[in-house]
Amino acid sequence: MPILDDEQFERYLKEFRPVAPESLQIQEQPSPARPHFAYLAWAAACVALLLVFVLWHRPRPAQPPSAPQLAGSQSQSLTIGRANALLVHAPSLREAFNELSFQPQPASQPEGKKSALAALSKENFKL
Amino acid sequence: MKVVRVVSLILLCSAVPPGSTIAQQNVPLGQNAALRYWSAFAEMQDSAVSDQQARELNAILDGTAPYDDLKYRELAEKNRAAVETMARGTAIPNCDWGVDYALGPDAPVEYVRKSLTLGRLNVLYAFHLLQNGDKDGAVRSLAAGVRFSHDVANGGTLFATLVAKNLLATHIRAMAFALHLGNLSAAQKSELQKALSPLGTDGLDWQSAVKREFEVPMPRLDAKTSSTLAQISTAYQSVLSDPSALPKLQQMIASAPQQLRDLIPNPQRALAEKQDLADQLGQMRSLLQ
Repeated sequence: MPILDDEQFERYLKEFRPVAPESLQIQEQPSPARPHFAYLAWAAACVALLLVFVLWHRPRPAQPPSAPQLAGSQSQSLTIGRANALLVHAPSLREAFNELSFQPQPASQPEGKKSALAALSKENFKL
Repeated sequence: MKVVRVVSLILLCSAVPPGSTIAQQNVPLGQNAALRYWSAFAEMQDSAVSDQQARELNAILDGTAPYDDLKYRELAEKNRAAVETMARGTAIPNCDWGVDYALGPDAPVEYVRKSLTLGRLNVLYAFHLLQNGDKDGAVRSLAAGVRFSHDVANGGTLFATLVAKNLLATHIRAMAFALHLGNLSAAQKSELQKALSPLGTDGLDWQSAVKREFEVPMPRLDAKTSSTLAQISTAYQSVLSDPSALPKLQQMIASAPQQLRDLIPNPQRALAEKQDLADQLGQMRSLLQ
């Protein structure tokens, strides 16, 4: 290529035009034909998974009322020391015995209700 | 000399029947009302009640509200087996709760809490029977309840005795209600009198309860403090039979080390409870005449 000055070289460059690319010619590979039973197996697996999910999360029938909270199943058992401390420190015997009340477990009684045995375990006399 | 020893040994062995030791062990173990009471505790059945009903139950037991069978018959009926098991237990003269005093303050006394509930269920059951016209049944229940309440204090500390006192007072109030409501027959009154008779004037053995209270092994007491505690114990027991000695006891407690003051139940309160029970027993005996 001859040596040109700057202007000539610029004109030379301006002669170039972008060429539109040809479309990409990709030869499609023939895919191997999947056997029909594979689709069936895949569908069966999906259905099985769906069934397991539905059975696992289905709404369970209403449970019968749980076993009532019986007297004395309170976590803190009564000992001589605890009973004595109640007698010594409670302002009244009524309060001392109220301390012994059985608290029903929240789930064991319907809302707004409490254990009858808890109510009966509360000392209630006046001093 | 050796021959004499051998002969003595043979005579001694022949005098003791081989099965007597086993028999001695079996009788108290099997004939123990406390075991029946534990069976009754296991049979107790709970019911859900509203806050209002809970307050009402306490008012009924206090004698300040009438018993409404429509509201509480289910609770009473559900606990029929429990109170009847308890009633059968009261026929056994021996009641040993088997408190393990060697554990000191950690000895479990859960039976006291359960007894309070069962005794109150028994009163409700008696009300239920009364409301349904079964006066014989109600009287039987109340009589059994008195015996049971007395057994609650057996071998226990002051706390068990205070719970027993409360149960006795509740049963006595129920008796008064039955008398007022039911025109009890002479035989029925006699059954109630018979139940109250063994209780004596005071109803419970307060002195023994206080003695046991102070005999519970207390950890970390030095010799001097233990000695002071023993003196207070003696004075406390005396006060229960002679209330005029109360100020002296109170002075002893006030001057005792703080460690002891934290352990000693208020003697004035114990005395008041003892007197209250004696008064109620006296009044009921008069009503039953």
